[in-house]
Amino acid sequence: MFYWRWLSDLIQGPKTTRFPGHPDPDVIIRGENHRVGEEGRDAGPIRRAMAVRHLDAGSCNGCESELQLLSGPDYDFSRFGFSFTPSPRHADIMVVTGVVTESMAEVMQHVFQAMPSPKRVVALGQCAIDGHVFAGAPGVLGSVQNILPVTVEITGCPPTPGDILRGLLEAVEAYPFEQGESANERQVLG
Amino acid sequence: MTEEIWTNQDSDQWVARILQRRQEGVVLVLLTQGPDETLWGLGRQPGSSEYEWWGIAHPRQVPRPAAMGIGEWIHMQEELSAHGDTSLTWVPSLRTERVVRGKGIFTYPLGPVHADVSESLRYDLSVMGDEIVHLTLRHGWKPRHIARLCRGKPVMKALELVERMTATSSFAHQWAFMMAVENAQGRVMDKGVRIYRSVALEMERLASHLGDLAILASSTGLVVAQMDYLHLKEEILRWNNRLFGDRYLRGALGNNRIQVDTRAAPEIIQVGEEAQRITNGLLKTPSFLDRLVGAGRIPKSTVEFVAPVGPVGRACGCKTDVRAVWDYGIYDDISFSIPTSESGDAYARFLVKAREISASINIVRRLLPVVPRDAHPLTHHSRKAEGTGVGVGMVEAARGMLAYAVWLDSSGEHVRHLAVATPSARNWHVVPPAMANGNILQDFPIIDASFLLSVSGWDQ
Ligand code: SF4
Repeated sequence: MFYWRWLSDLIQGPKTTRFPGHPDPDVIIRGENHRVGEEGRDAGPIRRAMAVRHLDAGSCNGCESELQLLSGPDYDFSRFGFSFTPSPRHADIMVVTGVVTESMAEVMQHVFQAMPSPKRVVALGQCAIDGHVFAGAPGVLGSVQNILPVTVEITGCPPTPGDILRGLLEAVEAYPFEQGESANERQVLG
Repeated sequence: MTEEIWTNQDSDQWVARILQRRQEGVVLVLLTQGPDETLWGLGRQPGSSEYEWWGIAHPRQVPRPAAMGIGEWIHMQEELSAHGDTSLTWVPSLRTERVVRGKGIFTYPLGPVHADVSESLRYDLSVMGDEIVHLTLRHGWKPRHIARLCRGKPVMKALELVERMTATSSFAHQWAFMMAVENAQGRVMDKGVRIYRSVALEMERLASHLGDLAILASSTGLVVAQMDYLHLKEEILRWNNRLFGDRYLRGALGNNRIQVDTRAAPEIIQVGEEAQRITNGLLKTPSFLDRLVGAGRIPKSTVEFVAPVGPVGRACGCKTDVRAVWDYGIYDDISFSIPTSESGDAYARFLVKAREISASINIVRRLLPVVPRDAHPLTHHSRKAEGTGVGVGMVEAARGMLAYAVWLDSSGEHVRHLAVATPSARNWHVVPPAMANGNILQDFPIIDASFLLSVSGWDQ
């Protein structure tokens, strides 16, 4: 079975995209990501193995659905060293989705405090950035930035996996590729 | 629409009447307090086009339907007692929660934040040794009050809100809401529009089910199958984007226009064949089947009480499928299979979902070539009849029966009041009894993955 797959991969080419090192017409990128805060940068860069902790602060499960696809074969974010972690103690990046409700704001702070430094916070999707269409609803705070220091905001509703991948790389300063980066590293990213 | 209104004195009769209609086979759709403070129960006889409204005017003390054995509305009762007007007080439930205490009981608090990518929900899992003896679900971490936000909004603005209730059923929400609005305005859509909507709804079901099966495969540790399913889900999402302009079909109902692509039909059929191949592989994998068969069986009494809908219901003998019992799309013109099973365990839920994928592929294969190609503004394709200002819409979403009731204001363009019954809100109530039904702690992630209900549809 596995040899057969290995052979068919050789013939057909792998499913995994080479984005963002190389453009891919199948990978849609729509949103614009914003680098917001500089917090946490002085504590040093995060490289090689980046453990992601996801927190749903009031989403519609669209952002989750797209985030989940990053671990799938089409986007495979582990090729850059990303993985989801079951414990905040191991987490480097906290990804927050959804409008921030009052009850989740408290939980969010606990998770953030439990994470070791250096750490980053990524606001995923329009809801997490400003509450989107739900801004002003009772009990909805509507922005991660009011509660935690956000490094990168990934816009979109939901942002596509391509957007998320770029945003995560931006959060750990691996994207856009900088001058002077070794050819080897560049190849890994491609 | 038939309407019966009781006064406060007849509250017992009101519930008794609903119970009687339920026993006669009427499907209970939703319970809501209308804009005029009347408390409405809403039901429909399979095959009929009429809704039945049972109202109780200005209720002061209403017996809880759940106390009479009507579990379908249990989540709406909670809602009413929590946020309802002061005039609405409930007699305490006779069905108090089973409490487990004593030496040797250990309770795991799981959540609201979980290990992988998942929604916020707290599970309090009580075990005795390895056996799960009780589960309490605590929801309400993320209410966005969508129904309340919609009040007073123009219809198109409200549509933007409801399509964001649950992304994996985004189109189902759009359609059910619009169906309610059209019903209230007295408009009837023509066949082309209904074909278009049916295709979109089935594409959404495909993506949702493929994602569910991927998570189920990963809960049993079968990563190859998980990755294969995830890849197919991505393929469907890409097709959604090419055909309808959005991966989650947001705005697709308003656009009402499909992009022509000759590769679509053959490639979507191929996705179906691939899915079948993976499913067949799993059906030959003993380590997968051993974990699923008999796990998380829903007790008979729970099935009778809650009457679960969607694939969860069809896997335990409740055969409600909105597509088959009411004509709203194009489903009456084509034959399609509705897979069912009686056993009610995780394996049955897996089988039902896997077969529904094939059924949906078949529907898409037949309908895709006949979707009208031209630009298709909605207004030109409807017939105007007399509207009453109140409307109901109901579709079979990926997770089951989804119903909306909409009250429009006198202009017919603004939402005055809105009520929604999601399949997840109903079905979550079968999860705790199914979990504490002779399973052990190691079964927990598998049983949980076999349901995969949405929390956003519950918290709304
Ligand atoms: S940004 Fe969009 S997809 Fe993401 S949680 Fe909000 S409404 Fe859902």
